Amino acid sequence: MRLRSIDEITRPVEYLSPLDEYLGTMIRRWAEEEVIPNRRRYDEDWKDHHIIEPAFRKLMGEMGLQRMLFPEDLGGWGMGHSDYIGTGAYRMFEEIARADSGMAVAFGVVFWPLVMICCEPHVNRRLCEEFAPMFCQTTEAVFAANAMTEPQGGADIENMEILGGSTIRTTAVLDGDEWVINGHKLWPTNSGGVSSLFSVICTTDPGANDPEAFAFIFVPAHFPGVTQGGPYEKAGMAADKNGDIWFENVRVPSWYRAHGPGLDYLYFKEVISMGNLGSIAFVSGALMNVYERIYDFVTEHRYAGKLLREHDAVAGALADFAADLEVIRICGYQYARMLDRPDLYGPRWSDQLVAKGRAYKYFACDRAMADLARLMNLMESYGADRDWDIEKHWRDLKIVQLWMGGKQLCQMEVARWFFGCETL
Amino acid sequence: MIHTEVFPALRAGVQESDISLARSLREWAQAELSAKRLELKEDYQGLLRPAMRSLFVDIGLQRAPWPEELGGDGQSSPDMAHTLAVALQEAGRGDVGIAWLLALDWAVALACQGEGSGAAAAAVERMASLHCEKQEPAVVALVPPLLEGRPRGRLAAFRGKVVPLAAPRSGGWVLDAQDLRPLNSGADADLFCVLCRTEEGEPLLLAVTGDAPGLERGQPFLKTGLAASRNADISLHDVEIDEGGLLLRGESAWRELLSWLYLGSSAVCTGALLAAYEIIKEWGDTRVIKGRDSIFKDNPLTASLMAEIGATLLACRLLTSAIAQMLAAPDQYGRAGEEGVHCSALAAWLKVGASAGQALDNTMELMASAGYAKEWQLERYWRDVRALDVSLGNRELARMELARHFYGSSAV
Repeated sequence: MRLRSIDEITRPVEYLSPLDEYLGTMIRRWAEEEVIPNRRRYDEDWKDHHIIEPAFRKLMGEMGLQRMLFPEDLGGWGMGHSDYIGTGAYRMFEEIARADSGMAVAFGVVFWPLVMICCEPHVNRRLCEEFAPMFCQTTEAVFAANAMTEPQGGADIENMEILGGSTIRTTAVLDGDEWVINGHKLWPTNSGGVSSLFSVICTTDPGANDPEAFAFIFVPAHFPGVTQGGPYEKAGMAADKNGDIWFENVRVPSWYRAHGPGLDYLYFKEVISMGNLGSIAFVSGALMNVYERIYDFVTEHRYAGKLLREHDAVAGALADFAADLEVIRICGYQYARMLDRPDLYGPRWSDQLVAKGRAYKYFACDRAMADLARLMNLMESYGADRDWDIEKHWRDLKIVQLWMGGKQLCQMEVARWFFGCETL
Repeated sequence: MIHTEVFPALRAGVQESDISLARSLREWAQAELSAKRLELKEDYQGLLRPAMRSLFVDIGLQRAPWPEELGGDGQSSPDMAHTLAVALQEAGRGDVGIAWLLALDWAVALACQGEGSGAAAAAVERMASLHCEKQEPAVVALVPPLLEGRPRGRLAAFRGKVVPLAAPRSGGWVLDAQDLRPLNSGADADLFCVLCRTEEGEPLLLAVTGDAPGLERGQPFLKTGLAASRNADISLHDVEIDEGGLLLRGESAWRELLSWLYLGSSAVCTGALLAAYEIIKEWGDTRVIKGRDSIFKDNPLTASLMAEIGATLLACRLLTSAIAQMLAAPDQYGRAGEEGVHCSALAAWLKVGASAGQALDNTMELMASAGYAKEWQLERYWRDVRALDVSLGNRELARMELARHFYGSSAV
């Protein structure tokens, strides 16, 4: 019998979302039935998603979670209007990541572009009405992607504080009542042929360090001029497809721009905050499953006549892991609540919340990678064995550490906010 | 080769023939692996097995440590430590898994021919025959002591873990143990070297041929890396081994094998770092960041981490060559099976294995998503080194051995 359950890993229960129990229970059941029994075969399914896709369909289409952000009168669940989008999202991401963090990120990124138009106080009602049917009137899984990274500069686009969008080479030119978009993006989650809708980070004035030139424009994937490459083969995270996207004279209505000059730039920082929130949730969710699996291992294996967990030096390593998991989870929920309460902590797009999110994210990722390497080592040759799942989490979580600018960009943003650095 | 200038290793004892071999192995890696990697990735039959054949048979490294009179190259003296360190770094740079199989093979070969190994003459002859006459790679798997839990059958305790009990039968032994996990190649091995213990408590390393009656191989399992080693659990159902199957006898002989294995594994991981260095160097030379013609390597933050990676590589090379020096000079440092030398090799391995894993983690961090994609090759080294690191045992438990040696601790 298990001495502790993952639900005893601390989170601040006094400010959980009203839907926490409902969503958590529903997703955990889905994970236990649809994902965990199959996930050891996911790596070989990276290209076709024959095994992975049905689980997405159940979660997003049939259970309807892809409708979550849209207003209720448009068929959604209205979470964009709620004051628990952070804590609600955290619980969902965490539960999915417990089973498979690749699925969690693919799921989470569906909402990344939609945050710009579905969340208070910057709802773009016309765009909600435009895209709600795509997500709310189907039982198929529908994906969205945030096309941000470009070949030449990687995370430079996210380094807005200093570069102000000056490195963006994907251009948007207004031609009558249409934007004409040209450029090349790579690596977005849910690319590789998966997405039905892209948000594309563009510039209306190439080379300008001008917030007003930063444009966030929606592009349906089926529009003429959009070409998607196949998925990349990666070290892990098979459920998340990534690839190249080319935009060649793609024309979209002018009102497909999220908010307009200056505001796109401002609210895009909220996208970064939400990305940091999701990243922490993916880490804590995966680590909760690692806790379950390593618990089994050290309880089933013995050394010198004692359970492995009863060896003092091993117990020290286990304690370090548990301590990190506790701190990461508390920290993640705290950040979620900070995003839920702009009246207390300021807007989600503030430099403060972006910087603090970066800090928590890279702390969580660094600790997770160190802990996972140590736990795999405790397991000796079983540590590299897929049947124990821990090596999968180790491979999967590595890219959480790498994405969104990796640790270095996180460090710079944290240093800027806490120390007033101006030239980094 | 630039790395010998930028990251010098200790040169005492390294022969011109070792340098020449290293050059040949760099050519082998280019022709047999690098040129085909993007297409074949980790395809065992299409890429890795042919590359092994080329390395083990055509270049002939599987013959190297066996006596000339038995068809080998006669490099079995302790001097081979330098050859081993140099060759396995280059082989590891090409493919960690292939190099590690060679490291395991050489560790068994050198230990069983070591002074006081207790090996039966017939065992050496059989091993030499397997390695020198076969025109296919000789794949030797090592079955080490295991954590208690999964293995079943007639088991005996050994240093806190369990091994099969070697029960006497007809002048030889019989083994009856199930669900044993070899370090490597359970699915493919021609020979399993199984550490056992007699009823009197003496450790033996016994050779079980891949076609031995009663040997059952499980299904190959999926794992993190080391694709050249297709591993599977094995079961031994009343497997009989005659006296000619005795490869090692006694604690000292087993420690000697481990010392050679720690040296080989250190060299292989250092080779992986050489590859990582080349990859991140190219990245640092060409990547532009911040859109202001700022080259990646010129940014102080990234340069700092790149410097750390380089420093780790240098430290690993120096440590590996220092251990090679110790194993090559038993008259000065003691034999590889003696506790002091063994603990030095173990300590070096613990440092190199952990440092290499961290340096590869950092290298991937610098390259971000590109490091994670198979296209850039780095992620394979990252997975392989982690898989190798865990295979050689629980670091926390291994430290107890060092605590006993360094401090006289009674901790187990």
